[in-house]
Amino acid sequence: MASSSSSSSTQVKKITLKAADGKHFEVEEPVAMEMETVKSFFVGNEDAMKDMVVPLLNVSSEHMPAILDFYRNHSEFRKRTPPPPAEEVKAFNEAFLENKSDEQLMEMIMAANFLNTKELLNFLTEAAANRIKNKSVEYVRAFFGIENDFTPEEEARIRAENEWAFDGLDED
Amino acid sequence: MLPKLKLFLKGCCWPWIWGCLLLLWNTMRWEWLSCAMAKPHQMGSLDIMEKTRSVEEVDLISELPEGVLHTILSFLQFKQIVRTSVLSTRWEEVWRTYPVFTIDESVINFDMYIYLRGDCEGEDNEEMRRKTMKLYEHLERILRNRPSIQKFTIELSVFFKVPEFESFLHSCVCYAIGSNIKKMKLDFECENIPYHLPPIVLCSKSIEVLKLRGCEVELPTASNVKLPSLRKLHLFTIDCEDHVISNLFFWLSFD
Repeated sequence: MASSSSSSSTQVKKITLKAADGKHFEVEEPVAMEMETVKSFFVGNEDAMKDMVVPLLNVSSEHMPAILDFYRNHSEFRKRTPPPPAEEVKAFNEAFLENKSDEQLMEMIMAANFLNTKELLNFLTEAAANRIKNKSVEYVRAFFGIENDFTPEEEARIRAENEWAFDGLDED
Repeated sequence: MLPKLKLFLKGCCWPWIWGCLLLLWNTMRWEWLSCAMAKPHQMGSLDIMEKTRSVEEVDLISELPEGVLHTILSFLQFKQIVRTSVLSTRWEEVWRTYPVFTIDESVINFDMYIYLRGDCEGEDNEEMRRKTMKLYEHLERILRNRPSIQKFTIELSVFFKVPEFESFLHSCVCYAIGSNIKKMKLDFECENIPYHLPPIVLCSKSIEVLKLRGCEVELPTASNVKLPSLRKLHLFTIDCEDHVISNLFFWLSFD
């Protein structure tokens, strides 16, 4: 909940974010403002800055540290002159995705959508797309957890209409 | 003595407890209010919160806004994008409204490549010819059934100077121009045989970004170049005369 009134800090302003499971994260203001959802929270409401806790209902605390790390690094990449070498950005992005399971990736896409940050969302959706590249329909359904709500006849019709697109697929 | 203590407790504690409750209520109300404010997206957030716990059982991704699902599609090759139409009714809808049309290496596959290069013989050739014509027809239908096209791309390693192939590309490009697209990219990596750009492309009112590689560009004869929306022009190994370039860049200088 809201912190005490003693926090008249002279350093970088911090904003408290509350993850879906109630855990609090103190975040430097510029990093917090990378998230459009947090930003829109404060627009025209500057007085409320200090003691407010911003609830992020669709972001679990499990993913908060990684997400904040992404914002911190990428905003630093953007500000740096000369811009960082492509390999450095690539290395960070690869490390970011390294141990993320498909489920975690999906949850983070939901979070990025909620936080309304184009850069993070693009990055994560591309990662998801890479994981389903050249995979069969069945694989993609399982990957995203999509329930097939077509009748067998409907599905057969769509497959027949797009016959060429189903040629030469390995079913894994 | 005991009743007195009770009375004392009643007197002191109750306001204190009420105060706490009031404080708690206020904070909760404030957070509740603020989460309502901070929710720009259309998803029911409580709903989602419950579902995140069992992500493997519940189809979370399909609940994302169409734009996000279109972004996922944009990272895939066109053939696979077409295949997503069979995932579920939601994804079929997402595919139908996908505002991008692409002819890439996934569409013109290896067999077709051999056929277009003229290396198929006898029965194989006839079979491939039939298959290819059917594909052209199908792709054109896909293009014409889009409710809106924003971006049209041809990205192939080679342009084949085969009449049916050329007229198929021509018909797609012209249709795209007629649909007020914003971005067009015609990219033929190997520039030995350039693709002759339909001159109508240079009279598009809507095109903002135009990228051409391995194309032969001539100015339209009947009308002048008119590209009033053009913001970005990429030309790479283009076959044309000097005045064509200056004419194209003239439109860029307007902005």
